Amino acid sequence: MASSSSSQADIALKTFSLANDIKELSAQDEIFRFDPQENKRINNDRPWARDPHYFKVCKISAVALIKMAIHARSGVPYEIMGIMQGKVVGNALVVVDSFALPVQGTETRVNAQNEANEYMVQYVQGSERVSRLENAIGWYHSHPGYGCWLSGIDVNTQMQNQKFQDPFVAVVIDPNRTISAGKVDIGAFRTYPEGYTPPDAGGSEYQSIPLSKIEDFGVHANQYYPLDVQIFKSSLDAELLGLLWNKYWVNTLSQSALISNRAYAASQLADLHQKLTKAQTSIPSTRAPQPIVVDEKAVIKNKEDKKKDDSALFKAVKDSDKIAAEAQHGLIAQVLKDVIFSSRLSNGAPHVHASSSVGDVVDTTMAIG
Amino acid sequence: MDTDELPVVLPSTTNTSGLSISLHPLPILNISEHLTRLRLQTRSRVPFVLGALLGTQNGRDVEIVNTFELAVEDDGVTVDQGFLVTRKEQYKQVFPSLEFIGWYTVAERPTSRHIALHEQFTPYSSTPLLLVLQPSTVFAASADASGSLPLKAYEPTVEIRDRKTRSVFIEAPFSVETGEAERIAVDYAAKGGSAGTSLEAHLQTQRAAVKMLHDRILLLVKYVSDVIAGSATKDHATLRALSALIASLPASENKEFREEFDTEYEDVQLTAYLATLTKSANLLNDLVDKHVVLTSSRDERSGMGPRRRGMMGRPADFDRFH
Repeated sequence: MASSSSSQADIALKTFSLANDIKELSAQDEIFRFDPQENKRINNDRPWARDPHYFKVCKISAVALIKMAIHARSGVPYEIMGIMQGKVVGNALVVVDSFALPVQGTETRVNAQNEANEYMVQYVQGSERVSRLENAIGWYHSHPGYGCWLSGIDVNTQMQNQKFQDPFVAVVIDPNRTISAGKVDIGAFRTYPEGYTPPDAGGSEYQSIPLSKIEDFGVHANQYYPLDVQIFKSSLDAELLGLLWNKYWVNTLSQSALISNRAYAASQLADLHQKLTKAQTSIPSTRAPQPIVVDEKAVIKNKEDKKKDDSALFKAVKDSDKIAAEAQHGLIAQVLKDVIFSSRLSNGAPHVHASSSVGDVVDTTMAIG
Repeated sequence: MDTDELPVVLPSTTNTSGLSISLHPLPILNISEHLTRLRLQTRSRVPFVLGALLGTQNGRDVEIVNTFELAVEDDGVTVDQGFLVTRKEQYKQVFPSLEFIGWYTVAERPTSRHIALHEQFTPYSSTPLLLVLQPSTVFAASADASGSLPLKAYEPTVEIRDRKTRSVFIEAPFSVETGEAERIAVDYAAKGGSAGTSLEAHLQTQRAAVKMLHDRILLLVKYVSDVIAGSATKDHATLRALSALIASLPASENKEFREEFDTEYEDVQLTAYLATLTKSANLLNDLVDKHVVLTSSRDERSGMGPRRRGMMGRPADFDRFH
């Protein structure tokens, strides 16, 4: 009768936990708890006012990320804007929720955020009513198709925000790249205060920027720095996400990145063409790097210089590789579907044909690098 | 519980809802977040969670896309109408196509309390749907083999019994749909945000999806072989659906489809070809630069200069011919 006694023990345990409200929340959920005392303390202390590099990480909740991605995609080709709510934990800015603002940004509108102020204030006040106690901790906007960075206007807006509403973080999301690359293209940034020159930061990861925007990018690139973006979710979220996969796997097969992103892919190719034409003029004057005399100090210095010496053609090669690789990924999905759903059964022949056609596409992808 | 009251949910065998409901992942995660937050704040296992559903309704097709939280007055029964209206307006400004579709809560099953709440939503929508998250199924047995979401959707209707009408709920089946950006974001969040764009990651996603399809096909095949062997009951509806499915394969033998498919295939391969050409051009350029460094000497440098420029200038001439 060991089984009945153990099941009795089980029942007893369950009754005990129900009766005593034992927290079944794992440590992973603690981040969702809002502690008003802690919040007040850290807002009075303001450690970020003393160190421009104070914040290193931006943690975004799964819900906020999904909302921002959907909002950004729904606004294409316009830029959309919204506010994020959250708090400060250590040297991380934690984003717990986000909501959309009823303004449409265009690159020339400086005061889009002011117009939405009334909406924002009303919304945040209303949020208290439903126990959403976190304050506004940042703003997000989208750059459809041209990458995650801060434009000149964005930098100014963010510097104002950091002056008057700190702690505040700027998040940029690119819905077109998200779909074409199959992963969320998002970046979080903090600007430096005016007049502060950052110590020489290591070269950031190269990202391809369309020709029309590249000047704006270059001029302001040193006025802000990126934060590490991490995603967090509650234990209940994790469970539901696992169960959800059982339902939406169909969409993975049925959606086609090639078809939904046609306009974006075409614009990328056009932009690459322009960059190559421009590169043509500078190519004749490229010089090979000078051979280095092996001398310790010189080696270290030259390594740093080499980073800046990438010719325009080299950058164009990186761009073209990225475009081709993403297109290949889309094609792999198409070929797989074709093989599964459209091949006629006839004694062994389809197996050969199927694996060879998929293999071909995969080989091409690997060849691009 | 309410053993003295009639159940408010009609048995599903006698009544089925005619609506076809599509639920997006975002509302599900919103409800989960709302529940977690209230759990932490009120320190109880099953706090009272209430919110509104936003979406679109076209005839019988309902799509639930987003949600927002609602507040109740202190008596725990009356919904704060002012807040509901303000929030609804705010969401209308940003997402004009979405409407108030219904409401959600956390409970085992709907009770008369939910009927009372339901009455308060009728001014906003003719048939406000109810979406219920069942907390016990989530936390009790994570080894739940059915792998189904602990959510149920109900459609309100009126039951006439003994010359009295009363509002009741009928359970409505729902399916999960996602938009493309939503699917990618949900995938990204599920993997903890570290998915790469590498070929490997992409192939793995495809493999997972194909594996699910394969598992389900195996299940169907097993069912059919069981029916043939006589060990399973013949369900004609299922068998009819199966034969219709098989008849629809291959998915398309249309000539135009094949042409379009091949054109797209060629376009993508052309992109790959151009990418490799560009890479070769770059490599060649580097090689030439290095060659120049190695072979140029003091005297010839001035002579080589203009000649080199002439050679590099020729590709520009080629362009003009086109």
